[in-house]
Amino acid sequence: MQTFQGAILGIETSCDETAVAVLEGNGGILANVLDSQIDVHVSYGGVVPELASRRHMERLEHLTQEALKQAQIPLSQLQGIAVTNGPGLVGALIVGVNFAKALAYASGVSLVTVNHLEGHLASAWLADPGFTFPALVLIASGGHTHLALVSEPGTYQFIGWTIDDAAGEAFDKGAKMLGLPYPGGPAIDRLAQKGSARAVSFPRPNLHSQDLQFSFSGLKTSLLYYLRDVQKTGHTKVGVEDLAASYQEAIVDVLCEKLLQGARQSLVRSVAVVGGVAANSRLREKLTERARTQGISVVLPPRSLCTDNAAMIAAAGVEKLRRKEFASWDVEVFSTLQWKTLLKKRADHAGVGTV
Amino acid sequence: MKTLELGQQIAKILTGGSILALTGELGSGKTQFTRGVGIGLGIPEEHITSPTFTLIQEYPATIPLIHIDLYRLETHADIQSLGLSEYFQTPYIVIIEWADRMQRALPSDSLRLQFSHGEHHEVRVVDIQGTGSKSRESVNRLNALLSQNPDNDFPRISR
Repeated sequence: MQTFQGAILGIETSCDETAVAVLEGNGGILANVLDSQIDVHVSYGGVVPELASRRHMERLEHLTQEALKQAQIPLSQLQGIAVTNGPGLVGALIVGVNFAKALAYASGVSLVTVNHLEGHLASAWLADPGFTFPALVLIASGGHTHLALVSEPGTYQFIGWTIDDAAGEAFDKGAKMLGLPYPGGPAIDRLAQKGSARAVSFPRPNLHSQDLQFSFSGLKTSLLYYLRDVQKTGHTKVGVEDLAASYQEAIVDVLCEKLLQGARQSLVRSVAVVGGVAANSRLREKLTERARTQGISVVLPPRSLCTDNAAMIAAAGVEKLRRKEFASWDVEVFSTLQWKTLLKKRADHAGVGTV
Repeated sequence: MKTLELGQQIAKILTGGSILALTGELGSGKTQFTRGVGIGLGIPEEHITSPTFTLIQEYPATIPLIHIDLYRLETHADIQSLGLSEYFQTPYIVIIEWADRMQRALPSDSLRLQFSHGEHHEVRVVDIQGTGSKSRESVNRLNALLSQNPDNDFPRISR
């Protein structure tokens, strides 16, 4: 990670976590505080945009004060403020961006905007300052499954992605079919530890195709069919633990193999998995083992940097500050991935976040 | 006919401002169908993904496609907070998955597609209805288009 003098404040409100962090320019985390809304949304079985925005508004000021206090840095001495401006829920993003603008305006500190996915990428070199480039980084979460070939911090190209459901969505919908609570990923992970991954052979979609596209929709349907057939015939020897383990294994196999296949094709020896799904214990175990046999080094950020957090936003912000890609006061939020912009290899001055 | 092809066929008869309300349980083909529509509109196939977590995805094309998924939303207030009504007045094609979650808030003239699993694996049944003059006209055009190929046993189209 390129060093930078001074401390950076990171703010993240793209979905259901309100997060604030203070990062030293050399990558040291001075504060990383978070207010998860899972308890708010659990009764709904998902995220609720209006609730998310309101909660961000209620929590953001307090969390910022808390982070600055922990870091022991007054607002005026910050070198920059980095805020996520997309992709995400528009209402939730607006709360974070407007708060950051006001803070920057009042304190005279520079403002930069960060693409949420670039934030996830940065969690790889935030977790391991010795992370080597070029590297292939898998972003796997509820909304995204992307393979990014990163030549250096801030310069990357997507070379693979899901053509239907995201990996985290496959976990979530599978959990729903198995009658498990929200969020589904951790629920499957826990249950799977007591089950056999070989109990049911679920399909590994696209596993042997030469391209780097993922597909999880067919896997979801095969679980549905399995459950429907069991219901028809009346009984099964396979318990829910075994089903969870087998289903999880299919997702993990595809993620590991595509990442390693992509690394071989791109001739890189360094990989990482970031995003909420990177917290999955079976994925961490299997990828570590598979990569070692192929002589590829793996970085798996600690769980606190896998789920949405603001330290990664600040880390990506460091790069933008270094490049002097400051945001203007009329910077806006965006809800969806801007494919045309993101697919092109980024030009040095092209700020994807500052649209 | 595959679910994806049905989407591609429907894309041929849709015009800007068309609203498609999709219902049906998990895995019944809603996202697959939407991918077909997107392909039919000239959007690169691999870019059309499930918006379950992102809620709304916009795809630029000659007629832009707005892909909405209400799976994670429960109450009427939550759905209202998405501000969907703004999309209903655009010249875009709007597809809403899990549209049953917004029943009353759906525009009165929309194409309703009910997806269900058939008796056998890999079989889907799609029931298509128009609820106003514009959407009924779309159903007529789709019937005419599909009747050009007598092998079509799918989908089931009613008014």
